[in-house]
Amino acid sequence: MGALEVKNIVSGYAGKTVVKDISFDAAEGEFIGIIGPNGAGKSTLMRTISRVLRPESGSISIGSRDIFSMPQKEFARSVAFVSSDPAVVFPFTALEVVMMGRFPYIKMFGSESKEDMEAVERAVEATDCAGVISRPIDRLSAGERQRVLIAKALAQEPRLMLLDEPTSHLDISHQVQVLDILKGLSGRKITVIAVLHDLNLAAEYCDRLVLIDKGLVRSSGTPKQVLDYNVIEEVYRTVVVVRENPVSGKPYVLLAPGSKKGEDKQGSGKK
Amino acid sequence: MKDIRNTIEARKKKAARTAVVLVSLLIAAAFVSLYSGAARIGLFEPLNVMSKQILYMRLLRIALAVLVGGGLSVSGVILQGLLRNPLCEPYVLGISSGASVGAVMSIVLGAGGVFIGLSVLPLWAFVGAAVTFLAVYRTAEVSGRVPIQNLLLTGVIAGALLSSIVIFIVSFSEREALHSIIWWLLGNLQIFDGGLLAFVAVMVAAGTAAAYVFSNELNAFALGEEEAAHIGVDTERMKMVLFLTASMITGASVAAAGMIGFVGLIVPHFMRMIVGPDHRILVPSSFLAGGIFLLVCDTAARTLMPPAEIPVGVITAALGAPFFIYMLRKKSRL
Amino acid sequence: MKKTFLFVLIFLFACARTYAAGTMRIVSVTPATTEIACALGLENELVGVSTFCDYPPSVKSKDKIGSFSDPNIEKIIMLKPDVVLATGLEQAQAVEKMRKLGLNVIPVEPDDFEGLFRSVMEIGKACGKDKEAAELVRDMRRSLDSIRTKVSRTDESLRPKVYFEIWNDPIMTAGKGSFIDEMISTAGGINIADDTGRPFSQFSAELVVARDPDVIILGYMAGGKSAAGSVGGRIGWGGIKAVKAGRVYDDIDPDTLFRPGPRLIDGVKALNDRFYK
Repeated sequence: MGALEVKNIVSGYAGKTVVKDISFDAAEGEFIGIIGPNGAGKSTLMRTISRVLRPESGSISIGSRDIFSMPQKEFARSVAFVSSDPAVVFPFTALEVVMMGRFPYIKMFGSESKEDMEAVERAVEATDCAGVISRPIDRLSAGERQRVLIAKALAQEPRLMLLDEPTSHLDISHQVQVLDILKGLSGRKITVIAVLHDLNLAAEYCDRLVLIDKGLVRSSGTPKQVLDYNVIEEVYRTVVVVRENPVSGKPYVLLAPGSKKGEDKQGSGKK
Repeated sequence: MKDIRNTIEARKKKAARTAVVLVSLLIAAAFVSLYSGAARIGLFEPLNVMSKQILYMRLLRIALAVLVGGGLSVSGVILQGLLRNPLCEPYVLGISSGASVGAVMSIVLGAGGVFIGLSVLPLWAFVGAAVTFLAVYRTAEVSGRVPIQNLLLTGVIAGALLSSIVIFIVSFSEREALHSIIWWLLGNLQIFDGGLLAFVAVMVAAGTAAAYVFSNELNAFALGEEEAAHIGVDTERMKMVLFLTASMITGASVAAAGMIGFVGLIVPHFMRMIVGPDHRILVPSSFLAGGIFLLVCDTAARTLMPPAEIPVGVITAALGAPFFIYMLRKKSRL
Repeated sequence: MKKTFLFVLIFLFACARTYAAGTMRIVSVTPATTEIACALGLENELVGVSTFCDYPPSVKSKDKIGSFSDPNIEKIIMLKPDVVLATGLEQAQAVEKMRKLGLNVIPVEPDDFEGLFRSVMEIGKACGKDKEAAELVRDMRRSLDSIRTKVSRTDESLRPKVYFEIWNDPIMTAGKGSFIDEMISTAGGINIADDTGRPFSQFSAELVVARDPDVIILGYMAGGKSAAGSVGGRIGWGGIKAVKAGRVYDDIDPDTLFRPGPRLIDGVKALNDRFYK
């Protein structure tokens, strides 16, 4: 019985099923990376878990409760979502944005309570953005903005945090910074599920990986289990070499440029 | 923690300060307006029956100007917030064109001696606005959801269609009726009907209250619709409630005063520059500022060229257009 | 073959119509010029009128050349008119176009009685009815003079102050330089808005109260409600003399007030009648 249980999800958009049958679960405080090629259905899966899309069939539950039967605010107190780069149109300050994370806790007409302020403070501290909170959000760098948005999600005090490519616009140092923050959440018993493009970063930080291809789970397990070069070559149609990081002991994936995997070779790989 | 508490304190202080400044400005503007007009009434003159009547008329007109100006501004705040587009104004969803069709029909039918009475035109205009809103909202709906882009597009198209219907009716109507339609479309704050004023007051007050109650939701929409849902906003319900609110305010305003442009566009903008984007302050302060702005414009409209009156829309445009261009240029420089 | 037959048919039809219409072919694109033409005995010569032309009632069955504000020039050309009667202001563009196409257009835009008389003479001249035009002008002058005489015999202090409302939302009135202003003074009234610089404008509602007119004329129908009731029901207007005395009138045919044609005389008579009731 995990913190999150996704069972046989079929989901997509009007007339186009993208996620064909996906099941996995996550334990409390676990950091799970969703990987897979473009168009595999990663974002659709995340949008379904975050209730933006309603699945055609299958069930999603948090602590054995079906998420689609939860009231909107209650759901927001359990699950927070960080998208890759939402545009905030009006010049709210970073702090105002973080405080919006307290929305599901604030009653109509109510002002922020002491608990609200404490939660915001913890979120700001955990994401190390105390230095930027009084600046307008639209004037922050991409890395700063991403940290602020994670702080906003943390202010929701969720049990589950979903992130769709949280590092895609960032340089290496900011990528590491963001992933360090996420890694640190396991100590607060927050389950993190993140779509990650960079296989090596995913391998380095995640407890478990779920590899998705063509709307199905191709494989899942520890980074070592999932990052098998046969599987990666087949799914990504690229020749790769997998080695072990001598420092962390985690696997890492190297590209073998110029030798694009052909259809025939992929076929032979299946045998 | 200190930062956070300071921010909240600062917000409350700013709200109080803004309220004091705007309310005093409003009282001052109302006082000046009460004692200006084509008929001269001295401040220290003893009042006779007639001057009492005239002051009473001015008072009602001041009330209407504040209600309509404040209402249109709140409507602008709501629509700019929901559509996440600072260039939106209360007329963007075609509501006003719907009101115009209603008003024009009442004038044209009335010119034939069928329907007209003093308060029939606003009634028709309001019905036109309400029907338009429902039609636009239903049309934009796709499998139980109303995507905001759909709504915007549907509204703009409905507005264009209804405007062409107005032109069609005008081009086939008698000469005097045609003139009056054009004048009505320019907007005016003449008020002869206590019932109509009460109706506008109820609609605007209810609408502004709703916008204030849901100001946290409006803030959330600034992050985007999906983001708002992620922090717990029931977005479909909120969109329905808030669009309906904006439409009811706009419909009532247009019904009572015709189409007065620029107020609902520039006041929210201006106030956002002054008090910031937080709707908990923006909604009430835009109401007050919009009321002041339209009151000043209308006082100018009825005193600049006595005994004639200038259509108030001409004044709001004359003040609003240059201001708006200035703001756009300033923004593009940033 | 079929086509030729059709052509012949159309041609014959056209000839027959030309024959029936007599020698002069006149198109009138405004209700006022239609009335003037008919008063000059040119009704049979009118081959086309606007959809707004409704007086005398018999012109309603004439060929329509489109609306007053949007005349169909192709249709007018097909009617092969010798003279086109139009107005110079609202139809300026159409007049220009028709002239370029070689039509004989007489634009008239009178804004006082003298101007109207000149227009009548001009139309008479263009349509070969000089004598009838002179007669019509003489009759109109005579009627106006008799009203003026009647007015001049009443004491000046008895002249009523008049508020003439052209439209109610927003309230609009006729100021100096308008036909209405001249008609009011000819009929023996004092227009309370004659210090308004423009012929037509929105008017200050409180000034109507302050100037306290003896008579209010509505240039439109009050529709169902009694005229006095609809105006007296306005907030602040209950104390106006005209309202208290029940002297708010909406029963004058607007066409006799706004259409610059022979029937304006009826309008002046009707005003005079309401002023000295």
